[in-house]
Amino acid sequence: MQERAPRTQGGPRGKQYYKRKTCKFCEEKSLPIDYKSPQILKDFITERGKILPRRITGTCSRHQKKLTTEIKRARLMALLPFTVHE
Amino acid sequence: MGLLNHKEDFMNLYEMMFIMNPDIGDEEQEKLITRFKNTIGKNKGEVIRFDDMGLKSLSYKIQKKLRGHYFLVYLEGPGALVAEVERFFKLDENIIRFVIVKLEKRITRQDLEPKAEPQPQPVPAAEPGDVGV
Repeated sequence: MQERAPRTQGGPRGKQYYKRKTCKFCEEKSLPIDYKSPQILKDFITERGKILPRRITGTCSRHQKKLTTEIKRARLMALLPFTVHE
Repeated sequence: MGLLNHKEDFMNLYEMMFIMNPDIGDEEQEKLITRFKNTIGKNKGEVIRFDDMGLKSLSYKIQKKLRGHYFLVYLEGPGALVAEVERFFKLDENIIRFVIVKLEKRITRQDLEPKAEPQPQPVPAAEPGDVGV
């Protein structure tokens, strides 16, 4: 899970600025979005197994779309959980 | 679209992953694989690569099982093949789960053919005429 970038102080009118998050898959083109590699997909789901939204991970629209289908495929093949119970 | 009049002649590349019951014996497993390959052969399909991914633990219980035997298959065939293979997977009770994915157009057959590193398979040596590089 990617953490929120630290707050930067002193913006005009007390606005808070966050460091712009970038899409992991755009930066590293060779990184596969594939249901067969659940280790990579694991970074984009919560501990509960839910798919993390784009606004948290910074993934671009195109890759998020692909990511969603691949996570769902991985769930179907029991490579990722649907839910995690405590 | 519309350019292909003989739709049944058009070949696609497919990726299939299936989970087999891990509790069945080697013999039965062998039989199942042969039957699977026969189904493909009958429907004008061709197996490009057949990988045994081995036993893996499942993320959740399926049919009260916690482990499964994973297989990954790449094949080439007409669209009608998919329905037949799907039927085969559904009918066989030793197949726990399966997924069939049609590969993108930019992926070619050469990308899928087994390379030397994953598992040394008795691949017949290429004919001298074929080696153009």
